Amino acid sequence: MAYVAIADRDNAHALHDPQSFLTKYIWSQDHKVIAIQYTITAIAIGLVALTLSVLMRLQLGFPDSFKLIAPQNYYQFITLHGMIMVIYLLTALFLGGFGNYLIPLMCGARDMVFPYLNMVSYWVYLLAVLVLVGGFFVPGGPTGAGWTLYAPQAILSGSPGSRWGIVCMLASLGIFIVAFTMGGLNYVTTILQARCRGMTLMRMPLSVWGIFMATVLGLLAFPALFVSAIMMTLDCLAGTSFFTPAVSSMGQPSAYNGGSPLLFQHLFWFFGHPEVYIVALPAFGIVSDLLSVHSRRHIFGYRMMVWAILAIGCLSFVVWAHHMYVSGMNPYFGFFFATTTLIIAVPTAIKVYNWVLTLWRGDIHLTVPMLFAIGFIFTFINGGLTGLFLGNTSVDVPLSATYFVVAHFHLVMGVSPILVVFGALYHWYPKMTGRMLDDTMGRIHFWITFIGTYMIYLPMYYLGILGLPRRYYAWDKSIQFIPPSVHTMNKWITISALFVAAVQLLFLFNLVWSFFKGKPAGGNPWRATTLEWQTPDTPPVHGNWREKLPVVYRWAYDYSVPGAKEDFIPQNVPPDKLSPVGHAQG
Amino acid sequence: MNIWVAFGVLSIGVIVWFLLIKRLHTRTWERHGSSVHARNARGDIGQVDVAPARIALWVFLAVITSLFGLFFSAYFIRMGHGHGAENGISDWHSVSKPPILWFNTAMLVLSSAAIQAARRALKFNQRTRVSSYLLAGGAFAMVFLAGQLIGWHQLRDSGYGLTSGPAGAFFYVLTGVHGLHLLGGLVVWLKTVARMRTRAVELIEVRLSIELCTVYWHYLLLVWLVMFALLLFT
Repeated sequence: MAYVAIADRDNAHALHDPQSFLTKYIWSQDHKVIAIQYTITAIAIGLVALTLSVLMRLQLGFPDSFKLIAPQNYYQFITLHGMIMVIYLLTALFLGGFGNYLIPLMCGARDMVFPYLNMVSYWVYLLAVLVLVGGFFVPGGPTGAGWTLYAPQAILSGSPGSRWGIVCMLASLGIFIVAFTMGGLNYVTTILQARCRGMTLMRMPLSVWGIFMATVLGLLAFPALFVSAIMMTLDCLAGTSFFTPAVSSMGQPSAYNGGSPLLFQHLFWFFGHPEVYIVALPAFGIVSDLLSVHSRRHIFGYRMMVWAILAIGCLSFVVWAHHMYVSGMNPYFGFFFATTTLIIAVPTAIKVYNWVLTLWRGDIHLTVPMLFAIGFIFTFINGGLTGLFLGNTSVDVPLSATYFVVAHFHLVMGVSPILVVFGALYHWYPKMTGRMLDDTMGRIHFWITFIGTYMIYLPMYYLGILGLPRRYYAWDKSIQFIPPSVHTMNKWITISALFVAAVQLLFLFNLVWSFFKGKPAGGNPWRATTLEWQTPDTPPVHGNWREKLPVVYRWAYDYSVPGAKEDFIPQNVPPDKLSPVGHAQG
Repeated sequence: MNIWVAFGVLSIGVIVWFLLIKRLHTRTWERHGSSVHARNARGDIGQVDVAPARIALWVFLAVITSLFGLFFSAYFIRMGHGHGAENGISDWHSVSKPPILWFNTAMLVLSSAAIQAARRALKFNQRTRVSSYLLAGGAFAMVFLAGQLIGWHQLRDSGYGLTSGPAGAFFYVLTGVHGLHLLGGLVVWLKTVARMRTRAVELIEVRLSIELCTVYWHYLLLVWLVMFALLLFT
């Protein structure tokens, strides 16, 4: 059997269409169905995390009025909120959801190269989510160690859920990593091997580049979490002392001896920092495409953007200890990591400049996806600039335990990627379902989310500069250095958070309502150039391209080409179909 | 320490840069020497004969490298950073290595060699030879795993249980993780052997599986040799 390049395989090579409901929608090996399964699961577990954050905010804003949660619940909620949002929602949604949906369509492939592995990846992810949720029902409840699960307090009695809760958490993370590795092998191999004819790497849309690099980061960084999860589980269950030093817990000396809590922090953050970019790089890529499509202008500095993605990816492995300035590690480390941290700002700034320059003199359409994309730029700059403060050791030390950090990381790696998720859902929903999301509901959703976000997090910067400590269940009114304005401001933040949380329900309603009642979208409602909009069917059928795979002749950003008949030239339009002046770059 | 980090980063950077430049120009749909290739000769170093599974295996090896690399660095950090280490009273006491590990190492080398021989026989289309070498390779690997289990028992009986100290705990964890990876390889090996038993299956259809098994086996041998050296000398 001679080897046939994937780009040359006809439909006979492709899988047979699944027939029954079960194989089509449940045990599906179709990347589009798996993507939607990932998305729905991630949003569902994300709603749990959203509810937890509302409960926490009610406690912080109105500690006297609501007696909904006890102190240990507060720590459990804070832990689960962080872990779910970062890993089970954002990572899964960007890579499992958008990665699965966009990679084969944007690269012009019929499916992922290993469809069966892809299906298993989803079901293992679902198992990870179920084990995580199972943590709520074990004796002692879920772990309350903080989302960083620092040793030794995560496994010592005194922390909530230090026996079964933490084991559920670690098991769930381990299972998640297995699922991610299966998915990740697929994404990388598909991008490298299954691109259609003419789709060189330097013609790929930036979304695919972002997802690709994020997957590579995930594949290399998640093992660090895996290693620490295995060793911590052994500390907890088998009584080894990898991370746990000799401690007296609740007055009783424990059997532990000599373990290194710093080792856990190093391992955790060796995963934890690339994780920031596992979430951010797909957002960077997707937002580049949204800005380009909706401003009818090619992305500014495409090559620079690709190299910036690669540079950020490589640098993200040498900055982890900037999370550990106050951990008691060698101060010379702080100097090294502060330097690398500031260096990573350079490619990031290049990307921001290029986004703004893409908009410059563009024909900007303020559609809902575009609003979210522009909102992302603002939020990312706001969150990113405060990162420069925290990246410097001497400034970080006084700010590290305050709300300044809460505001910084929520804006830069919470809200910014989530805005892109929303923008991307508004953008690609028509391709996924064949119907547009409702525009009015979309605009209400955007403005309340966007402005509400600022009403939540800008005051937190102020609280942080006042020195308000984070991780507290309540601040006693008699504490001298906390002025009364802090309590007023906390009420304000809570009320804003309630509005933002409520409007997400409107978005969910929109997702369901538009599926049945939305305006029919047609094949290419945004008049975009990339391949996913050129499929013969909308939503694309199994195999995506009917008999013949597309052939690509140009880069993904031929918008407003001088002399061309229309203001966009799809990637698969051959040069001889254009007028002579319409010859494009790429 | 910093100098090592910087050196590591630099060398990784150079390798990544080289691979990227190489990959950025590949066109997976083109064959070497085809007419399409001749027309686009400039800068085109595309390889089509690389099957997706081969790429996936190499990516997977990168993942495992990261995994074992992190285990090894955790090993070093725990060795140097234990309580009181700066005063020279570390709680790290090296364990006595069960002598059976030498025998196990020999088994794993033989296993790797047998699978390599199977791959070689594949080139000459000698079906029975491929089959017997493949079986021998798997059998040696199983002996290795059994030997590792015996090694665990010997270590425990000589007083170094899981909770005896960090060196003992790391011994179990490292060898355990390595063994699990070999076990995963044996699953693929078993599938390949089962396919070989079916007469209808042509030799060429299992070629890729055998080639990938060879790569994986050699890789796990390498990991074991590094790990064994680490355990012996500390």
